[in-house]
Amino acid sequence: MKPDDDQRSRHEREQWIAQDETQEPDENHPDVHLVNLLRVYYAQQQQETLHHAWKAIAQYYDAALGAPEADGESNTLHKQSEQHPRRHHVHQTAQSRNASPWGTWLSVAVLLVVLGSFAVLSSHATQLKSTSGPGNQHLQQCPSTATNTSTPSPPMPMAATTPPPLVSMIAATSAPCIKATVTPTVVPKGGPSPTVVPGGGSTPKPMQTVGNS
Amino acid sequence: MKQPCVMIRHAEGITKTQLAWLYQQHAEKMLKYLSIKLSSAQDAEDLLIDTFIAALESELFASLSADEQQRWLWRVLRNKVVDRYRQSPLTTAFDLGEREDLLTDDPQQEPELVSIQHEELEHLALLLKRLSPLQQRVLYLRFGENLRCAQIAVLVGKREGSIRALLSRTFHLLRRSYHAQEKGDHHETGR
Repeated sequence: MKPDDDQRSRHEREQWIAQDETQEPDENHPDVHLVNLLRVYYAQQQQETLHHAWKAIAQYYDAALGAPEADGESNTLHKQSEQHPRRHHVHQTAQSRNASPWGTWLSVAVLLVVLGSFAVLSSHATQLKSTSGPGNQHLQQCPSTATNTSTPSPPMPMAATTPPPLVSMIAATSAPCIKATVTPTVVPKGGPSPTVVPGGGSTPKPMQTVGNS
Repeated sequence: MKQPCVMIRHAEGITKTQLAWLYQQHAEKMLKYLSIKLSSAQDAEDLLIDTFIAALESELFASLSADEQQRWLWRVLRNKVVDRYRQSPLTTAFDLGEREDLLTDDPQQEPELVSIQHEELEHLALLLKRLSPLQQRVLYLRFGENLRCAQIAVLVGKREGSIRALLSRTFHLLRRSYHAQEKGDHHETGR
């Protein structure tokens, strides 16, 4: 066979292709060798592709299965969260890595919340204790003083030796509720009396209530 | 394909032996189907793997009968092909060169023949890479899948006469290049 001497016309070549579909190829035909080579090439490719695909599937199976000795629960293949073996491994590694930091952060957060709530409660208790005079309970409990204030109430020291001035507190809050509820009372001796201290002194003065002013 | 020799049982699901049996039964036909439907060899391999992995991940699959499993596999495979069409219609090139590294030797042949054939196949792979994607695809469908020109025409969306002409031209070109390169090699070795 002289391969370069293919003097066949285009029609003849097409005819050969058509014949090749239906008949066994002629061994002496110049294209037979190339056709056979092409067939071998494609067949090899297909086998290699099948082999590669099987390796990937088997690898996935092994990865999803885990260790063969493990118990049945871990051996099941119905782990929907993992799509591929590589992702499965990454997922597991990430889980194991994140386990301890998450625990630490969670415990710190819980501790902070507990401490914060304890501080708030204790300050609230101190505040209640310091303002627990008989005439003042309404003032403390009036919701308008707590919520509807347009101007912030003065800061309350946690362990104040002098109770906060009542008048300034009242003035700072909205009036209607206070006017309706606060009545002049007699302050018992010795008790913590919310009084107006102009000079900021520590000596208790006669109490000034809203009604008296 | 290498036969799996590992036997692993687990409580529920499918054993590796069953999986290997299923693969042996269906994979080759499925790959042929994929190779015809898809223009990329890599896509075909990916979808074959995806289909079997979907079977492994399915809770239902293991409880099906053999016939039902076969139907299930083919249904999933077809759906995956449809999905792939939707994702990338007519854009994938059939690159034979990407599988160039997969050429292996048949140990039953004579070593010299194996060596010669290996060389020839490498040579051929290089030439195939130079062809257009359509030429490569038509050549593959004709000689890799043994489809007739009429069938190829339907798959490719051209007339039968066009396919025959295309095959003829491609073959002529391939033949000329193949022998020209062969001659060049002979000249080089002659020096």
